[in-house]
Parts: sequence; structure tokens; C-alpha cells
Amino acid sequence: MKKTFFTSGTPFIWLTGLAAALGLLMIVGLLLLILVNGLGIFWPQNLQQFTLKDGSVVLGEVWEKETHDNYDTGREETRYRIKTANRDFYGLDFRWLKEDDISERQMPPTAWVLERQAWGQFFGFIIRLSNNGVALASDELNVAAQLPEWHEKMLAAADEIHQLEKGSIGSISMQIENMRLEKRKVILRRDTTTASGRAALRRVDEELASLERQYQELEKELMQRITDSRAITITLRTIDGQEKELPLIDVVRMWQPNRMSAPEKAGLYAARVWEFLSGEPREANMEGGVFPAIFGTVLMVILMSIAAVPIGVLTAVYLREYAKQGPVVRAVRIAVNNMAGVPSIVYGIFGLGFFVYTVGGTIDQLFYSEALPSPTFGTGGILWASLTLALLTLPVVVVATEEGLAAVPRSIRDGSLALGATKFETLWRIILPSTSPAILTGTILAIARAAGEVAPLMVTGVVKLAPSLPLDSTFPYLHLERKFMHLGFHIYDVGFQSPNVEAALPIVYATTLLLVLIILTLNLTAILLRNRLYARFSVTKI
Amino acid sequence: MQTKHAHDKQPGKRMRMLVDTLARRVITFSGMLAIISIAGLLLSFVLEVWPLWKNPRVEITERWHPGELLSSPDNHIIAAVTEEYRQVMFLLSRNGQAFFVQTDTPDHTVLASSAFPLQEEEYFTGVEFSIDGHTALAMSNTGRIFPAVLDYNPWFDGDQRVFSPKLNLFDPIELFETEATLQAVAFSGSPEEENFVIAALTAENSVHVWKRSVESSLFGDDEITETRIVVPPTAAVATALSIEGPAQALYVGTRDGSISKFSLDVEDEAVLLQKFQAAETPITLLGFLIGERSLVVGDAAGNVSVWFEAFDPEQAGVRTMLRAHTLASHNTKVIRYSPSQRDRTFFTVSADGDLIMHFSTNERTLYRRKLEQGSPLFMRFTPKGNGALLLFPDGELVELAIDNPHPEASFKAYFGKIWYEGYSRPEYVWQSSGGSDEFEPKLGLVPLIFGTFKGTVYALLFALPVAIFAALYVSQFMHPRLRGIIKPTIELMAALPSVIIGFIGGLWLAPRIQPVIPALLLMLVLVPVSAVLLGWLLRIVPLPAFVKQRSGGMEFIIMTPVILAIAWFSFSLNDGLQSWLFAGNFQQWLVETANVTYDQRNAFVVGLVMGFAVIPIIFTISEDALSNVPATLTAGSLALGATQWQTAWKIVLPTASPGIFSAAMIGLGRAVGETMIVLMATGNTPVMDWNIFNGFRTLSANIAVEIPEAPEGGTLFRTLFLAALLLFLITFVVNTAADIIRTRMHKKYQSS
Repeated sequence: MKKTFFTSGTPFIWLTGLAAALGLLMIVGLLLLILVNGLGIFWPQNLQQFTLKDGSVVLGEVWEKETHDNYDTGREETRYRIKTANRDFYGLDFRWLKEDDISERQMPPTAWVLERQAWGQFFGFIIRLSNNGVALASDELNVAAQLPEWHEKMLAAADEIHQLEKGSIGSISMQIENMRLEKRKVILRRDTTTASGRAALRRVDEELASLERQYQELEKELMQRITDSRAITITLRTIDGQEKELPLIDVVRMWQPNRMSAPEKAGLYAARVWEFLSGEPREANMEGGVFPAIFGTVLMVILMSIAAVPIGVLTAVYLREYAKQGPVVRAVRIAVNNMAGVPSIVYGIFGLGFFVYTVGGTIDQLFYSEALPSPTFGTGGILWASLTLALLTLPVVVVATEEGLAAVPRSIRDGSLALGATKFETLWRIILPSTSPAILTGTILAIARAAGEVAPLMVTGVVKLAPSLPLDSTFPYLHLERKFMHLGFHIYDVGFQSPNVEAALPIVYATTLLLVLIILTLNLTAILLRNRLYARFSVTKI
Repeated sequence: MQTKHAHDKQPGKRMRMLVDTLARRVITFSGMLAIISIAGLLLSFVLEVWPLWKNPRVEITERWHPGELLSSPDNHIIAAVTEEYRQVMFLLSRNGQAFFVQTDTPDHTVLASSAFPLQEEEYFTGVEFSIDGHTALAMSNTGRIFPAVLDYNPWFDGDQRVFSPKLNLFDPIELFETEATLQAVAFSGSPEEENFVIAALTAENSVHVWKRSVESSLFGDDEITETRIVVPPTAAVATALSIEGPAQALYVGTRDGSISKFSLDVEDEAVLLQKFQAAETPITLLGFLIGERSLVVGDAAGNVSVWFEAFDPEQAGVRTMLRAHTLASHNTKVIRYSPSQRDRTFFTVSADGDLIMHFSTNERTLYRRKLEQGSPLFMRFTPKGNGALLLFPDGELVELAIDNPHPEASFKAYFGKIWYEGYSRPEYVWQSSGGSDEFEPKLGLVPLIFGTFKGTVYALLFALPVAIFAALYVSQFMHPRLRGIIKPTIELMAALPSVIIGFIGGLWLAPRIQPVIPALLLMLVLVPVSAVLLGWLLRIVPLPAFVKQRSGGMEFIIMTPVILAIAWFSFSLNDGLQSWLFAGNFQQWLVETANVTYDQRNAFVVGLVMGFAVIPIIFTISEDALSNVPATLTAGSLALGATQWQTAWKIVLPTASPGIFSAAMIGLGRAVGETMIVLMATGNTPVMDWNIFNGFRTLSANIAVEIPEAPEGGTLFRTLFLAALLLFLITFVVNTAADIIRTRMHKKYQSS
């Protein structure tokens, strides 16, 4: 029995089954891990108050529970990882509590969670609301009653200040910068000893002076508004009695989790998710939203597609329909296929050496000499990153298109040609339409690949924080030379380069989930399209 | 009717043909463009890397006679140095006149001049400069030594750089009570600094040291002491001198080829530290390179070597002088040298005018030329290392332009063992930049290549069995209806961006794996055993027939909860195992028993997470290969009575083996080039160590780490391009081989 069991090979079948199960567990486990960690982050947890045996109190959210044997005592120990927030008071956001040290747990109903512009979240109590030092409300109940209204006002004020900063002041400082360049251009290109040259210079100088006056006025107004808005303050008190006064305008969002019902929490959850998707990052990218990164990723991918898809499709058409099939074409095809296997960092460094330094440097010499030595195109930017990725994804498009072309039956081609159509007409009217799902599949796969690549972007123009989006309302609207943010790089940068990795992890998980969702959606679409393509032509083949 | 029709169509037809031709042209052009761009990619790498191997260019740019500035015929120029931009040159004459001359204009305007306070009949016999060229020490025929500091004093007049140079003269130092003739002087420090040490070799071959040191007393007053020391004579006659500034050590070369090293740190004596044999013939030259650690030794036979202090490879814990580099030798005695202030390039010149430009680190001979005017009186590198000044006995000053952008580069420097400063032996090291300008770049690519293969090997160790077994299972044993779901699911893994895998590996997995290594080791044993055991159990346990039939093709579904259960079981045993086998702490145990420190981000973690990137690739291609094995083969085998496994193992697997091999190659290609995963999940330390619990640095991660710091066109920049070219070639060759194997297999079964 035993002998036959082994010779029959059944155990080995089980071993191979094990490998398949392992592969599945890996992918499913990873996706679950990302899903759970990414989704849970925005849920408003209750705040628990722990009274320890030594009399001290701790307020925080329970993030993790861990049980293990103590080698020295031989006893099993349980400990909790508590998010205490209040980085400005404690220095750290998390601490560990041993089960054995806890004597009492409570859920204080009046405890607040504050999302602030600086120092991360605050967990504790708000004991006073004042205007210029004069108390508006000085007990927790009154404060809680009046706060929402005041906070609303403050948010509106913050909005106005932001408008002023980004809108009027931003456009004026842009104009000033342009004028400065204009002045350099005049000095560089015109003879300032002649009357007309001097006149041109004077005109520019006058313009510049008037702009600077406007700028100063606006700045004064801005300063005034900022001082006014910072008069409304709240007094915070931590669980261990430390107090701090904070301008209400610095509070982004506030809630009392222990008082909230489940639907209220769900509402808050949705609001926070929305903020994550549509907001700007705060605090060295560790808080707030990732909108610029989403925008950068999408725009980069679009530019990449514009470059990669037409060339990829034409190359595939050339290789399959026009080139004389032979060893040369076969070699080229192998080379193209293998370009997909060349490491992405190799493309990155090529992009840096060729696009950025060679092409970009030349463009700067020719067209942007007035801004030199500070480079315009001669440094990393969204155009160069997109072109680098276009090169990287070109084989994907070529291979997919070729597959699609190969799937078009010979008979259809012959039929078209026999009816008198030219080769191009056959291609344009007959072959390409049938190939379109394959082209689309290739495009989607290329986009999915490009959206997830980070290494080549790191050297060709991605930054941790871009001051402005590459697409905006100032001429020429699309700024191809600008640096941009990217979801994948955001994960790397916030997860590995931020000063406080522990506090930054939630946003990294959320970004990871977002990126995974985008890429899986794209890939699933590609798979479905491919299946449709097969379904369509497997019939005609027979 | 027909002719009319044809006539009508004529212009349309011409148009159609035109469009057709145009389309053909455009498509052909685009196709060519893509092909050219691949070739261009390779070409641009080669172009970027090529300059590394170019020999330096040395050209004579100017010859002139600075002696024309002087009035008296017995006077002549004995030294010439320039500042960084080569706009101003400092000239010193035998009779003590000093000039700052403008050299970027053809007429050599004198900007400033001054005179050393020489006495009647006193003249200079030689002058030494510090490596940075700012301090000069001239010796006179009467044995007096004149320190001076050159101040070029550059400033900007608008965009124009102008100089107001000045020579700061200091009181002459009288080493001897009576007149003496000096053969050579060496010094460290400067008259403007607190510490200033001078050593002089007299015609009688005795060595004298003068030193000034400043000590702060308790009351805050600085006490300046001047000490004169006579260095105890060594066995042989002294012939050359050099002082190592930072260590306050004096080196005295002798006629029998030995060098004695004295410490000048002790108050009023020179203590002999070490005596070592550096040559067979008299030492004729001693001098330091930038950083004042590498000692250049030249001898009467023309040999040039570089020495520095390091731990003795034969005696633990003892520091000694080691002969690290033997460089190209001259035919006759070496008489002069000049070190670059930028890197470890230096000139040596022999008595017959043979000029060699060496690079110490990799022992390259950068340039060699026989000077037709004989050996120069004075020779000096310009501060930027982009030129040299040679002053000949006939009074001619020859200015050289040197284009020496990448002296560090050489095949040996990248792929061989190199003896770096302070090391006891030649080693493979990558350390591209350090804190100061004096840092010696270490550009060995071997540790990175090693790291690349270490990561690949550990990744494949895990990924290969899983992927190939899974492919075998999915293609041969899995329920066909499930295959349509399972295969794309595993393939989906390939779409996961590596930044995500790296993040999970580096920040989630690495810290969690650290305490549970024992449990993982246990799982490694238990999981496969359980699979076999489960198969056996299901066979002997009497189950209804339909259950047994149904379970065929469902093994993996049954395995999933089993794996999870074993994982849970192992983790719950972790603490117990840790106490039982590893004295409570695996990492400490590892250090104590195997002397291995556990890095949190290590090859083990990378091996696991790289599986996410590599498994789906190997799986898909292997699965395709296995599924493509013609059904006639399997059917035949089964019909002859072989079991399912026997068919799969003996028929299907061998038939598909080229395809599986090519899958493994492509997986290898992916692992070799993977950047973000290794960047995030290893510590990126370029160590050479196969240990699974240590980190490493790969070629790809190295590019990502270092390229932002590498200035365009510099040696590091081009070296990183070389690394990228290597990666490109490795993956391209591997993938092409895999591709060829696969196509060949495909053809074989298509025809059969």
C-alpha cells in the first residue's frame, strides 16, 4: 500500500498542489493585507482611557494586540500598541502598554480627536474657546456646543486666505518672475547702449516696479487676514493635564469619536476618504490628501500613451504587415520583445542621460538661455518622465498589437485585396478595426505598467512635493517642464524617507490601496478585453 | 460605359495609390524608428561609458620665458605656480624677487611684485610648496629658510573675476647657528597656522627639525614654543625627506633604500617608529599625495611606488607601512614629483627627462613623454588638475593643458581587487563618495554584481520550486474549470507594482519576520510533510467513492486551510521553540553561535517578496509550455498504464523542459533588474557575504541610490551608466537566449 502510494506519485501531486495553493495564498494574502490596512485607516476609532497601576493615565486608540511568552518568567504576556497622537507633547505618536500594568479602562465621552495643520493628530479635551484671549466658552459642554459654528467660519477664512495666496499673489509673483526673465532677455539680446534698447529696458523696469508694488499690497492684506483669523483660539488639554493654546484655524477637522453613532462615523469616514482623494498633502506628505500625486500619475500616463501607442502600433503593423518576413525581422521582433525585460532603472538612467541632459540641455541652450544656468527642460520633468516610460512600455504595445494582427485570419485579408482594396485600405478598414481590442489591451497593459513604475521616474522628474500641478490656468496651461508627484513614488518617499515613518504609515497604506485598485482595475479590463477578442475571432477562424 | 467608368475612377485611383504609398512610407518609417531607438538606446549607453576608457590628453599650450621680467643676468626664475582659474601666476626668482603675473592676457602684465629680504650674496637654492600651493618655503644658500604665504585674493567686479594678489612674507627661520648648505626641505602646516614644522637635510646628510607649536595653558594664554630637534642618524646616509602633516611624522629616505619613520609628536625628540626597506637603491624622492596618507617613493633605479600605513596583514592589531602600489618605472633616478590637488594623479620625472603621469589607486600610467629639454627644474600641477607648469634649466616655462576626466576608471578598478588607502590588502569595495575632497573613491562593481546575484539566487531559491510546481499542478492536475480562474489570478500578481511589494516587504514583513524566524523554519518542514501526509491519509481513510473522485484536481483547495492551520500552529509554537532551541532569542543565538548579525532587511525577506515579482512570470511561461505538450504524448503514456504523476513527471516535464528553462531565465532576468523591491527591502549595504540574514546592494538599487548625487559627465555618473549597461546586457542576453529556446520548442511541437 505504502509503496504504491509513493510510486503512484500521489504525494508529489499533493506537493504541486501545495505550490499552487501557496501562490494563491500569496496574492490573496497580499491583497487582503493592503485592503484591510488601507481601508481601516480613515475609520474614526473610539478613544480609550487607560488608568495604569502606577496612577498615570493614557488616552488613545488601540492599534495592535500582541501576545507572546516571556522567556525569563515563562508567562504569557499581552501588550497593546496605542496611538496616543500628541506628537508635540510626547514626541512620539505610539506607545506600548502591557496588559498587566492596566488597572482600569474607560471611554471618556468628551474626548476629541483633532486633525491639525502641524504636529499630527491631537487626542484630548478642549477646555476653552477664546477670541483674542477673551473666553467665549470655558467649559467643555459650552465649547462643544459653540465649536462647530466657529470652526465653520475658520475653515471659510482659511479658504479665502488660500485663494488669496494661490490666486492673486501666485499670479503676480509669476508675472514678476516672467518680467525678470524678460529683463534678462533684453539685456542678453539687445544692445542697451542704444536708445531703443534703453527704452525697452526702462519699460521692463517700470512694469516690474508696478508689479512689485501690487505684490506688496496684496501681501499686506494677506498678513492682516492671517493675524485676524488666528485670534480665535482653543485651549487643549491632554489626558495628563498638559495644556496648549491653538488657533482654531489650524484645526483641519475635529470629532468626538466616543459620542458618535455608527452612521455618523460612516459619514466622517466618507469625508476623510474624500479628503484623501481630493486634498493636498500636509505635514511633509504624512497627512492630508494625495490629489497632486493622482493628478501627476494620470497626466504622466496620458502623455506616455500619446507617445507610445501610435509608434507601437505602427511598429507592429510594419513588422507584421509590411516588413519582409525573414531573419532580420525575426531578430528585430526578439529584440523588441526583450526590451520588455530590460530593467526599468536602465530606461530611467537612459532618460536622464539622453532626454534630460542631451535633448533638454539643447532645448535650454536654444530657447531658454535667459533662464540659464537654472535649467528649464534640462532637468527632470513630466515630459521626460513620460517619454522614458513610453520607451519602456513600447514593447508591451508592440507585442499586444502583433498578437492582435496575427489573430486576424488570412482569409479576411485576401478577401479584401481580391475585391480591389489597396493594402492600406485593407489595413485601415478591415485589419485595424478587428485589431482594436488588442491595441486597447496593449494600451491598458502599458498604462498599468507605467502607473506602477517608480525607479525610472525617480531619476527623470518625480518629486516628493511639487509646488504646482503641471496643468493649470496660466499660459501655456500644460507645463511639460514641471516636476510632478506620483502615487508610486509617494509610497516610497513617505514610507522610507519621512522622518517619522511610524506616523506616516497610514497614508502609505491608503496610497498603496489606491494604486493597487487602479492597477488591478486596468489589468482586469485588459484581461476582459482580451477574452472578448479571442471569443470574437475564434469563431471566424473555424 | 466601362471606359467612362474607368475614366471617372482614374483620379480617385491615383489618390488611393498615393495614400497607399504614403502609408507604406509612414509605417516603414515608424517601424524603423522603433528599431533605431533600440539601437540608439544601446549606442547612447556606449557613448556615455566610452570616455571612461579614453586616455588623458596632454598638450603643450604655451611656451615662454618668464626670465624676461628680470633685469640682472645672473638671476633666473626658479618656481612658477598658478591659482585655480589659471589667470594669475606666481613666479619666484633665484635672487628673491617674487611676481604675480596675469597669464590670461598675452602680454603677461605684472600685477604685484615683492622681494624676499635676502642678504648680500645670498640666493635661493630651491623652493617647496604645500600640496594646495598656498604656502612656499624657500631655502637659501646660507641655510636660512624663508616661509611665505600666497594670497591671490580674488573678487568680482560685476561678472568679471579680478585679483589683487599679495605675498605675505614671514621672518626667515634660522635652523643652524652657522651657515649651512641644504639639500632638501620638507614642511607641514603654515606660518599662519598654529602648527608649523620644517625638516631640512643638510649637505652633511644630517636631518634637522624645527617645529612651532601652540599650547593653550589653563589661563587661556596661548604659549608658543619653538623647538629644534636633530634627528638621530640612521644606519645609512639620508637622501630624501617628507612630513606627514596630520600624523606629525617625518620620513627619512636613505642611501641603502630604507625609510625611517619618526614621530615628531613628542616634545623635543624625534622618536623612531619604524624602519622599512622600500627599495634596493638609494631613495631619491619622498612625497605625499592629496590627503597626506599615500607616500610616493622614488629611487635611484627609477622605480616609483606608493606606501601607506594600515593594519599589518600578518600581525593582528599592528599598524605598519605597506607597499600598496608599484607604478611604471623610469630608467634612471626619479628626481621630482608633483601631486594633483584633485585626486590621486601625480607626475614623476627622472633625471633624463622622462615624464610619467600616474594614478595611484589603480596603478594606471595615464601619460608618458620624454621631455626633449631634459628634466625640468621645477614642476607643478595646476590646482584644478587641468594643467601643469614645467620650468626648464634654459629658462623656458612650458604650460601643459591636461584633460584627465576619469583617472579612477579602469577595467581593474571596476572588476578587480584594488588596494585602497588604509586597507591591509587589495579588496573589492564600492564606496563612491566620502566626506571630504581628499576621499579616495572606491568604484569596485564586484560587490554590486555580487549583491545582484545574491538577491537573484535567494529569490529563485524560493520562486523556482513554487512557480514550476504550481505550473505543473495547474496544467496537469487541476480541475480544468478552475484553471480559467486560478491562472489569471496568479498572473495578476505580476501586475503589482514593485514599489508596493517593496513597501510591504520592507515595512510590513521585515519587522514581523524578525521575531518569528523559528516558526518559519518549522513551517518550512511541516508544510511539505503535511502535503504528503494528507495525500496518504485521504487514500487510506475509507471515503465514499464520489468524494475521492471529486478530490482529484481539488488538492490545492484542501491544502489552503492546511497551510493556514500549520502557519497558526507554528506561530503559536514560536516562543516555545525560541526558548528551547535558541536560548530565548534567535538573533542573539545567531551572533553567538555563527557570529552572524541579523539585519532586519535581509536576503531572506527579499527572497520572499521578490517571489511576488518572479513567481507569476515563471509560472505563466512554464504553464504555457506544459499545456502545449501535445495531448497525444500524455494520452499515450496514460494508455500504457502510467499513473498521472508518472506521465507528468516522466513525459510532460521533460518535453516542456526547454520552455521551463526559458521561464526560469526570464524570471532570472526580472530578479536581476528589480530595483524598488531590493531598494526598499534590503539595507543597501554593499557587502560581499552570502549570509541569508544580511543585506546587500544590487547594481540596480545602486543606480537609483547614487544617480541623484552624481554630477553629469563625472566619473561616478559614467560608472553608473556602465552599471546600467551591464544590467542591460545581462538581461538582454538572458532574455534573448530564453526567447530562442522557447521559439525552437514551439516549432518542434508545431511540426510534430
